[in-house]
Amino acid sequence: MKRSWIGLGLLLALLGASLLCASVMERMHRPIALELEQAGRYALEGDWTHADAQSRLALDDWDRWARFRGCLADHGPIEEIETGMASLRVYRQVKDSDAFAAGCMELARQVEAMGQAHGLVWWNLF
Amino acid sequence: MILSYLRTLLLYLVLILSIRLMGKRQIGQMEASEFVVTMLVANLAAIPMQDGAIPLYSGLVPILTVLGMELVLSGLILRSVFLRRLLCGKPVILIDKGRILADNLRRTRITLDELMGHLREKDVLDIQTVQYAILETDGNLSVFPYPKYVPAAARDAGIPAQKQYLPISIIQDGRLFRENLAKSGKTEAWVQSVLGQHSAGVADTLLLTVDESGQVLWLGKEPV
Repeated sequence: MKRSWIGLGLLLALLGASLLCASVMERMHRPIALELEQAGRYALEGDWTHADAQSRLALDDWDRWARFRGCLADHGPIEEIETGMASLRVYRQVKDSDAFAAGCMELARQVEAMGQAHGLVWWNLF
Repeated sequence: MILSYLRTLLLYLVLILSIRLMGKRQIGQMEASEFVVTMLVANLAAIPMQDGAIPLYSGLVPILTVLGMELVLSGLILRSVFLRRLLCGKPVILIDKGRILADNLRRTRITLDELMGHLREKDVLDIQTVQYAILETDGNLSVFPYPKYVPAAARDAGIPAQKQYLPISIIQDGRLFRENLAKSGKTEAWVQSVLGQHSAGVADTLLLTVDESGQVLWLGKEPV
């Protein structure tokens, strides 16, 4: 019976850790997606000051969680997003508002998808 | 490359620990569900081993989850007859009092050829000598010949059997097991005296055992 208790403890610990990670991943990525969307909107309006500030905020938030994200998410999508982030820096420098806005929207969707991929929703089970 | 190496090491250790915790040593002793779990766990470990882009937890979490379920279910199976029947099935009699039960053969999807093959594995050539044959839940066939066909034991022949004792390994492959030495009630001085009789040391000894009656077995290593 001792092994059964070990098994039960293991299952509960895994369940707790999984729920926690799912929650953290979603809460970590939603603000980044929102910041990127806002940056895109500012760029389309021609407000480069705010677009620049929002995109830097998003990039800083993205970098802050890099290690935690690296442990949990597939590295392929992470690398795609980071490639997109690098492009954003260039669009920001040359002030190409269309490309910057499109890049921000695309990255926002990708970041949001990364956060939702670990969420406890029924469609993620299939 | 170093990451692949370290991941493989870690997953291998987790696999070994998982199999040990499940408590079976031989595949032949496993129930079907346990065999499936063993195969599953091995495949789960292979995924992050092969692909460095997949996070390690993708292999670790499923392995540990399967291990946890297996440990919980094995405990419940011990306590619940219903679960035992559901997950392990029950033994099925294939030969009863010398009669082949065709219905049970059909039910277990075992052909006569397979039954004969299993009997041959148990050194039975003549099916008429078998009183009972039972298909166990782990897939093994237990065969019980009629008493007249069972090889005679010492008791049947009226021969008083000698007592037998379990030998304890004191030295194996040049290594002294102090715990076993203590269990046997012998001392290191005794070990040295025995080794001295064979002009050997601990490192030269392949096997040294002693049993309750004091019978000693010493085998030396072959010279290289």
